[in-house]
Amino acid sequence: MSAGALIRAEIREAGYDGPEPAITGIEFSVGPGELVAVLGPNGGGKTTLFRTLLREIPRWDGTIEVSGGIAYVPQTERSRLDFPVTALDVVVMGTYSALPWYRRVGSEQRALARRSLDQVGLAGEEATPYGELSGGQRQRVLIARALAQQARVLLLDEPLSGVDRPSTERVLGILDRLRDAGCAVLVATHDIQQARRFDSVLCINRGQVAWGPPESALSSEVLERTYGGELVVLEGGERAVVVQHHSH
Amino acid sequence: MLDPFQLQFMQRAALEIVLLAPLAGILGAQIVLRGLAFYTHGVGAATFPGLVVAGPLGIAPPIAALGVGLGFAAGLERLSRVVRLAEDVVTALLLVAALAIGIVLASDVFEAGAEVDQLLFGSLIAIGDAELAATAVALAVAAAATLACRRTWIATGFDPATSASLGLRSRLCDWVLVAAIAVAVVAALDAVGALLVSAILVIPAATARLVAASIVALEAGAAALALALGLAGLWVAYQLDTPPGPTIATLGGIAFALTLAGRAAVPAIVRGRAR
Repeated sequence: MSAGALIRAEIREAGYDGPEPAITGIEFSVGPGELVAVLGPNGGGKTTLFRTLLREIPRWDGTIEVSGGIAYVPQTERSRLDFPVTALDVVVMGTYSALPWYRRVGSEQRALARRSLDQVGLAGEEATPYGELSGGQRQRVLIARALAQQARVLLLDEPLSGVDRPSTERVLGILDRLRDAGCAVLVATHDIQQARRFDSVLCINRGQVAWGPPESALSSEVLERTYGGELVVLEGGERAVVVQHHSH
Repeated sequence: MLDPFQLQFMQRAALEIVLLAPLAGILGAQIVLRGLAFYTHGVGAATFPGLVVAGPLGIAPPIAALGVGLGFAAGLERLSRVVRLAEDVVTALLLVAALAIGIVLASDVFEAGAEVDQLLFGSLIAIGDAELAATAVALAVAAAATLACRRTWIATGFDPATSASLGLRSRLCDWVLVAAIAVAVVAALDAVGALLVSAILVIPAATARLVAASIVALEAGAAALALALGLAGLWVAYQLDTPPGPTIATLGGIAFALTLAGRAAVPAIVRGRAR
């Protein structure tokens, strides 16, 4: 692994059951304290890339090296709102893998989960049923669950879509703190403006279009190759992305 | 009032209920949370041909039933993948096939006659030591499975797509769950028969689910309800001279309906008082 990198990936191809790979030719490495925006259209392979990094994809070829553990924050709509669990119960799930199967969840795990909830500003909501939280709060609970995994590499799948503005600000604040704590954080997003405040940008559209600091990676040519028909140019030259929400 | 429970066969039946109640709690909760009620019913029905052939072939009935039940689970998993049909469709196909084969075997091959009723609807008042021992073994198996996998079951039920990223062996534990349910179904056969296993493993948990705010409350509520319904059903069946299995199932249905009505009424009363 290149000196100091927490995650290094050289993915030749990755995919599911069909003959065509979902993504090809993606190569990057992320060091401690580095915040990376993963930009791409719907169906462009952002979630597939994350599943590949987690080694959950049925078929892939390449090299992935991770140091210090990897945790994943899914899109909130994938979790069940009718499940009888509280915010704290969900965060405690992050401690499960470090616990041998024959040991019960104890005060140590609950204390870690409480600290994680506190870090995302939800210390007062630990007994609230998960399904009764707002979309932004649910997103932060899932981030807290990833924090409780105590991994140094975090993958967040569109944590800013469908959350209100105060929650967006809070999530961005959490990302800054993770960077300060020396984590490598990859965030899938549609928001080009937000991506500009990240350290690096990875643009993908079934393959790697660009990788590097935002000022060089977010050129007009790259954005058009990344988004194609989904890209809308606003007055004043700013670019916005028209996103149709897809269901899972 | 409790006189019937002085009788030895009633005491054995009651002990069977006491052993089944924790199964109804720990596995019933997972069945309801994971949407496995139809699978549970399917495994129950699938054991029927196994029970029919067990006697004539000299195989212990629980072993034959378990073999067919696990075969049903494996066939379901395999067929769902190969033919790409939804699991409930494959469950329905296998369930009908198992019942049809069982009926043909019972009526035309082995001429089982009146025993078919017992196999389909249970014979709680004819429980012997062997049946009690089999249920105790099922309880031990379910307890071990729960100890090893409960956390993974909960995390997978909450969000199936990300349990692997939490470092959990969700696929293995899902198999353990499906197998543990098959074992529990076989244990419940003596009490409620192949067609009514849901009376023990689904209805109490479904009823507790209406009011339980946590998974522990769901498990405890389902176990307590299974115990209460089982003993009450046994008593009613003795008094009215009805078969115990269907009586327990009927009481379960009534308990579910009352809980549902109560759940709707209580907030309305609270709102009324607040005005």
